[in-house]
Amino acid sequence: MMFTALLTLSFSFFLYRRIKRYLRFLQQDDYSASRFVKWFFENRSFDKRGTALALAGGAVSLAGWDPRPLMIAGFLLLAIFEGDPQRSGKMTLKMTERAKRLLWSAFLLASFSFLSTSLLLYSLMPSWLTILLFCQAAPLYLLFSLGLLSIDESRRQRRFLNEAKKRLLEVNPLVIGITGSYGKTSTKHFLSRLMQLSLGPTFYPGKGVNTPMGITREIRERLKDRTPYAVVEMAAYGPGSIRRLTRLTPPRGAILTTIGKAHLERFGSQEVIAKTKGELAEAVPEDGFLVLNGDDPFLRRMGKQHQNKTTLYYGYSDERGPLDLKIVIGKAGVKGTEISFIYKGKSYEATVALHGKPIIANLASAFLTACHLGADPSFVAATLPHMEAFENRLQVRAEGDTIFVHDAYNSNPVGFAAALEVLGSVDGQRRILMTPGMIELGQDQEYENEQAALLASRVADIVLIVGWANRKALETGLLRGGFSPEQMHFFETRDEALAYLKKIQKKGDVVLIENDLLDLHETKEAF
Amino acid sequence: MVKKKKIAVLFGGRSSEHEISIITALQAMQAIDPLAYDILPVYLALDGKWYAGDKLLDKSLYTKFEREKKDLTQVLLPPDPSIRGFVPVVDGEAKLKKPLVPDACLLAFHGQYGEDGCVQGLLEMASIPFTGCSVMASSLAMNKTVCKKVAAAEGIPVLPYVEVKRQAAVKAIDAAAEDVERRLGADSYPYFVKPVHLGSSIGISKARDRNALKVSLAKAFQFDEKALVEKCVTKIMEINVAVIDTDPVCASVVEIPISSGEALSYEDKYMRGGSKTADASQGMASLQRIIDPADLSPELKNRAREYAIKIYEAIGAKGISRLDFILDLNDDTLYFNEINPIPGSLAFYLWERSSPRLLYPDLIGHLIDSAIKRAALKESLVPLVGFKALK
Repeated sequence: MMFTALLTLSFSFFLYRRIKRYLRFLQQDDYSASRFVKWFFENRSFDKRGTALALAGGAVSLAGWDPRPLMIAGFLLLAIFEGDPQRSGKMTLKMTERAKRLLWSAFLLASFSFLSTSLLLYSLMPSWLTILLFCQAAPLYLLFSLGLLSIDESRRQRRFLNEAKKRLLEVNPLVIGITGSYGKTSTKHFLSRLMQLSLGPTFYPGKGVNTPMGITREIRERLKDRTPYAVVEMAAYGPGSIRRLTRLTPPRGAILTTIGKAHLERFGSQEVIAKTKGELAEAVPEDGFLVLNGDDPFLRRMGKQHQNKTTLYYGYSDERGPLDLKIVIGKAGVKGTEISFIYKGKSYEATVALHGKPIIANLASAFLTACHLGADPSFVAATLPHMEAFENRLQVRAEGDTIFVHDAYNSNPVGFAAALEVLGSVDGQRRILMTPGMIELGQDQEYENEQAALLASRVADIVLIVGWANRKALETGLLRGGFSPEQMHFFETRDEALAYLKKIQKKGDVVLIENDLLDLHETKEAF
Repeated sequence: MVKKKKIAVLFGGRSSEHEISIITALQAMQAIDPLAYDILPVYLALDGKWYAGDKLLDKSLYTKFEREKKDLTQVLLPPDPSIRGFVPVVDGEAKLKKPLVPDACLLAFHGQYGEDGCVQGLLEMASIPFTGCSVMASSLAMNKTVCKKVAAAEGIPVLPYVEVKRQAAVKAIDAAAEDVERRLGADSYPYFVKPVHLGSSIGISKARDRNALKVSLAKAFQFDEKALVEKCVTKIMEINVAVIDTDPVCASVVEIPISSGEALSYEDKYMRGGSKTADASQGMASLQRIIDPADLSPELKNRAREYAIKIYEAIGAKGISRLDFILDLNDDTLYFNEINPIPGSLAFYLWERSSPRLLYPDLIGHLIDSAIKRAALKESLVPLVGFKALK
């Protein structure tokens, strides 16, 4: 009897830890059951350790001994070995109220059904077999709780949504929405700061907050009275998601940065991506305005569909049409990039602490928007040098004798190419590229990575490939570009690559670190 | 046995110098004589609330404050002289019947909302004695433009300057820049641009031409409604001196802070230690400096000290203030630059080398005693009571 009680406790402890670990991955995928299931099968995250231990217990009992002491100690150890997802991994588990509810309901359901199953089927099933079944069933309990709690969750969310809507009506700020395949967060960052400095108090949700729930929470918690402006980043997780956001925060103006190939696997094609982002343009009223990237053919086309609204274009080249803001890029270096914005016939110059064409385009869209809203262009131009690239955007930093170009976040073909451009333009002796390649590009993933590697072969001297996802494509591209096998090195993890880098680093090296993937795709976590 | 006095040390606040205030407070709390005083730390956190508790003595608390704050007691300071203390808030309720009543407050704020008279005003309303300048002297001292006017009125040299208002500049910065050039002289670049109300070198930059002037103004306007543009001195040396309200008022030895570039930046002041082993979090105390430099003429030293005392008394300062001067090495003119009504580390490192020598615990003791005396004197003034017109 004692053994059974101890075994239940020990196994429950293991179940708790295991479910918590699964919860981290569920949370990272925004609590989407379908994406979690997809990850589960791709990663083959079904239980192996617990099952192995249970089978060992089975073997022991077949040999005639009591398997329970072994399993008690074993599961206790395994539970400890599971680790704490609140501390490990690149995106740690955040124990929000929702996460807590999910964890506890899943755990209680699982341990309760384990206990009842053991007691009821005591004579029919040996304990090690029951345990084995529950080891495998653990993720199911999590998904089941997700479903069970979703009713209450939607009621809660609806209440929050209504509170947020009420608050927005009270404060009534002028809302600028931002969307695009990439550059949303940078643009939001720049625009909110420029507007705050040159126009008036500006509300903006925090870093990375671009879903209806996230924005609702921020509005409820942080939108203050007498805030004349708001800048909202709108991400499209699928068709209709931006439309939902615009019903929450109806925009007067909108910036569309690009229609690219990011998250292609979720949408299917660039046309669908364009249509989804276009939901933002449609939400802008006739007396509102659109700020569009004039270098993007999809956005030029979209602009023509909205002739009844004020449409403004920014970009580097006027070959696709006239530009309201033309960007001219000068020299780049460790101190920054020299740029000129040509707006309404005048040229505004500045040296900005930013690198790469994409992010400077983001800055331009913010400049154009602020000026269109009435700010003095000279003043806005004077604030440009104070705009910083924050973490995980293309940065050029000197660390000791080496210059690092960090482009660590969510890579895409355009960004990769721009980063390679910057790698080439910084003064140095030897150029090194470290990257796992680009992900979530659907059908085009292999091709784009090969192309990027081809570009890289013209700029880099040494390439460090991280992880298996794009190894073949990258190596193919490099070889096509004339790289020799000695110039490329493969590493399973970024830590290994970084260690190697530290070993071979020399004075005068310029290193580009391109794309730091979420651990969903990088190393395979063992279960 | 004399009863220990209870001293509330107030620090933090909604200011760009929040972090430095923590450093000054922690240092001061370590230096306070534990045999004479009981310390009650009161921290004005970034979330706007006030917290008390012994855990505030631990330096590592502040970087993980959100997690640790549940172990602290939230307090309020009602401007009510019948309560005269900090009211604990427990479970959302203010326990008015159980206030924490200090004998005096030691203020260790830097920057807005703490050094500029706001907290001082609240403490005056609550009738709680506090160290340092009163309301008027505090807010005056934090306004660089008005201080310059006071210094000039006292016959002390100040660098030519122009004050630029943010409201005007944001709408038309070209015109603002032109105006500055007209008044300072377009050929007297480089200019020095700084926010009028802040300290610790935040938002300060040098402008070599008109475009740079616009960029510098935009930088300062991130932090303040007004910016000050001054002519730069080409061959410059900074001289600081502290003043304390002993009887008579007394100035410390001078110091020459050493900078990495053209003027002390935030990094210089707070992130470079004096030696490799110096703790970066020692603030002003660890800055590389020469105290009472041997090769500076006694005449200059005395001039600085004299000017310092004059300005200190002209604005009605109390407690320890540090006055910063700029020496033009071309012609030995000593210009008044700015006054810090609550200097970093309370400038204890200057008093250690002065004569008479004053050690940090003694300094604090003096500050507290004079605060209590001042408050007592104020109480002896006849209050205005009674209705005359309404009867």
